[in-house]
Amino acid sequence: MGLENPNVVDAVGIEMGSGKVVLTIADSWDWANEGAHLLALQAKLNGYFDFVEDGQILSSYPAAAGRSVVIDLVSRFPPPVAAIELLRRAREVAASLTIEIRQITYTGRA
Amino acid sequence: MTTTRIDHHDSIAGASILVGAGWFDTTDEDDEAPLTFTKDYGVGALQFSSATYKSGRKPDIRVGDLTDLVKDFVDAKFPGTPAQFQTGELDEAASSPAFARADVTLPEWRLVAWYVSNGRDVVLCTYTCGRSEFRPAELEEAAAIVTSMRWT
Repeated sequence: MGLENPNVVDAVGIEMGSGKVVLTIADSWDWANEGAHLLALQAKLNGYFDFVEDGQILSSYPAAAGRSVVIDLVSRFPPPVAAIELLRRAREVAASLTIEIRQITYTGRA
Repeated sequence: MTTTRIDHHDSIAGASILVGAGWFDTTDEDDEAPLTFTKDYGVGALQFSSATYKSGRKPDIRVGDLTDLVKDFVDAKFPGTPAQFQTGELDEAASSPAFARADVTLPEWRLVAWYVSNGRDVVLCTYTCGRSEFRPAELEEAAAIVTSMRWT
């Protein structure tokens, strides 16, 4: 789970209300080594794109059929500007696959 | 408020900054990553990177140059995104640094970028956070860290 395993989908579920399929990335890494973190995040996102594009999502999670797909990136540490650049580019790629990318920083305290 | 003075890190071009309580340096000492601070349980990342004068014709960087730099930064990183710009001096001393600031609101993120200079060296500072998580008080603290920058 997490960025250590780029070929593993961390969590899949149906979002209440919207009915969208949500694929979650659990990013617990800090940004001490920004370059390594960006590469790992890029690999993880590409893994998720493959999961959707290759149709693995339907064999692994049949309830996804006919639903919009969202990738939720849940970050433990706030992304710096280089990460936001990466996510903006990833969103352009995702849009071509009709996938939405959202990002939230979960700090553990409200 | 308790503050910590950070001196002469490569990312701040020989300047010093005052970092408020609750903010932590998350930069890897063995890495050449930009100096980065986050607040304990905070939502934003404050990052510094620099261009240091080494040799050659001594630059004379003025507020107008900083404005051009921050506009170029926004255009290059987030083309087509509207931004608000402002400039200023960090204090009234004749040798005080000047800055140009851009506030950018992206669909999902808030970004504030500053270029700060003593006329010779230039530091780029960025504060980023999710738009839905934006906390004005945290941005104010981040801005206070940036505007505490001084060269001796």
